[in-house]
Amino acid sequence: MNVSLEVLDGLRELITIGVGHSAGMLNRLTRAHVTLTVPDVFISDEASLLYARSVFSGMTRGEISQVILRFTGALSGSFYLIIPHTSALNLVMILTGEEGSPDEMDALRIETLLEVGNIITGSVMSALSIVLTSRLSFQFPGYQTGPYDSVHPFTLPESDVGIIARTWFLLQKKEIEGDLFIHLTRESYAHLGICIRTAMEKGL
Amino acid sequence: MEPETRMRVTQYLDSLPVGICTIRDDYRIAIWNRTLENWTGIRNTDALWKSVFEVVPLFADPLIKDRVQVIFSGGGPVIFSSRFHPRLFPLMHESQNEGRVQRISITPLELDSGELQAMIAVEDVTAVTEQVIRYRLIKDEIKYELEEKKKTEKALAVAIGKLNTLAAITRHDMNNILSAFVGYLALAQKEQPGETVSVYLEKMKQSADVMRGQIAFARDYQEMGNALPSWNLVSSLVTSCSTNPLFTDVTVIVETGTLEVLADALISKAVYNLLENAVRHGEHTSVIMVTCRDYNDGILIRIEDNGRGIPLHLKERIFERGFGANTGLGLFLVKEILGITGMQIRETGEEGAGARFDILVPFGYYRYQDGDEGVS
Repeated sequence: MNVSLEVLDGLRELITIGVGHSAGMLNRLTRAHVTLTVPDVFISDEASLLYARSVFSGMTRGEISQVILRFTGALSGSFYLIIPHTSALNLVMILTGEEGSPDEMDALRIETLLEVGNIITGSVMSALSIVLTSRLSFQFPGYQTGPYDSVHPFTLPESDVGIIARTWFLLQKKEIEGDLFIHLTRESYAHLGICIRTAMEKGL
Repeated sequence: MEPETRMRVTQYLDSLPVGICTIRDDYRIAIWNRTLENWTGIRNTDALWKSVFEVVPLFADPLIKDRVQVIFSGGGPVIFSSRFHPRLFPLMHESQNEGRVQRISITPLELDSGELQAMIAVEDVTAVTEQVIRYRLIKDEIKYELEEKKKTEKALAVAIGKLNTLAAITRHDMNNILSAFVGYLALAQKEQPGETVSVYLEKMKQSADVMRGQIAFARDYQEMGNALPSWNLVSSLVTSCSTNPLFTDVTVIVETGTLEVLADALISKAVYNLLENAVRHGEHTSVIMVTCRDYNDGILIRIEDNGRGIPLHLKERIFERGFGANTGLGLFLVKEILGITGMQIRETGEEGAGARFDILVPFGYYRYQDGDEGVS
């Protein structure tokens, strides 16, 4: 897939704005020092699992936890925050200050992770909305957990596009790696590209 | 929204067991349903068109405000978990707030006019939260107990290991001394002692044989329960035990199909002992029959013969320790081996018509191979 550098830069900037905004919210919410960085952004229309595996090499073993936000409108697709299950549990434990070493994501912890995921996905979608000219419709966020192969969203239909933003959470000297995955229809991706170029021409 | 439509929407929302309010992008309240009225004590008429910051002061917190702003800036639904925000909507009386937990979700609501509002749904999740916390406590307790149990098991295993070693060494030494004793006894008997001394020497030899039997008994008893129980096909157990030359003139019939029982590793010795008893004490036993049938929640395995049977006054005593200890393991040991996996044994035969041992196998300790339902 031929990805324009302009669009890639624009996307990287918007995602970074959103992630930075969400880090600020997480800091204030948990009173813990949370740093979120997005070192890499990949865009691909490869439908193959191989592609996903190469990008998500650290996550293809074991279970993952993901928060999902589906949307329609000018952009149609889904937004996933994906974290290895054990890391997700650690993340919740650190953010809530729980003690011990629980092995289970019970209902309260799921709800907490859902809020954390919601803060990140909501902030990134807000950032993307800066360049959009019309509102999106959203489904209520959901949570899924299970083995990577059974819950991963990466077998894209050939006509769709995947945007993967590697995300590092740094909190209390503990590094937790997750991924933001935005799955868009090809039309949505084209529309987003136009919106980014227009916004760049006008200036954000 | 048309007044009629608005009234219908309000009626729907009033019937929900969830607190609902909607706010406009200037944060003024447009809907305040009956559940919220009941919970907060704030009447619909007192809330409508006022700023949400005034009616629900916690919404004025900059963090909450920023999160709500996500809705109006196109970021999608917002979730306030009960962990970080236990109660944003205070209840009517201060005393009611203690321990109450809410979960709040806010979704964008686009009206026909194109106006965007935020719909706030408030759920009381106190019961679920308490249940999860109780569940965590129970889980922690179980985890602690399991860890303690593991430590105890480890210590016990070490102690048992030491005891087993000590017992084995003691038995070995006793056997050596006993062999020397029996050897010298045999030499003494060859010296042609007087009649009285010969009687004494013979009694000493019999005592030594009893002692050797008791040492063997101690070894078998020690082995019991050392290994984990395993599944055993009943028909195979009986067939392999009855290949001994002792059963050459006896017809052994097994009708237990694919029945398997969970039993201690010494189960074959127990089965052999029961079959051997049938021949040794039956005097004229020619047929041994092994069958099974459902019995209450379990299975009853019956081992019966056509020998002389067991006298009524001995029926209870045959399972006592030491009874018949000179011949094989003794029924005491059979009872103990079966008892390790909850099996019970009793003698139900008639004297003169043959011995009949009924073994009751409890539910969960038997099964049939390949989903076989049993013996018809």
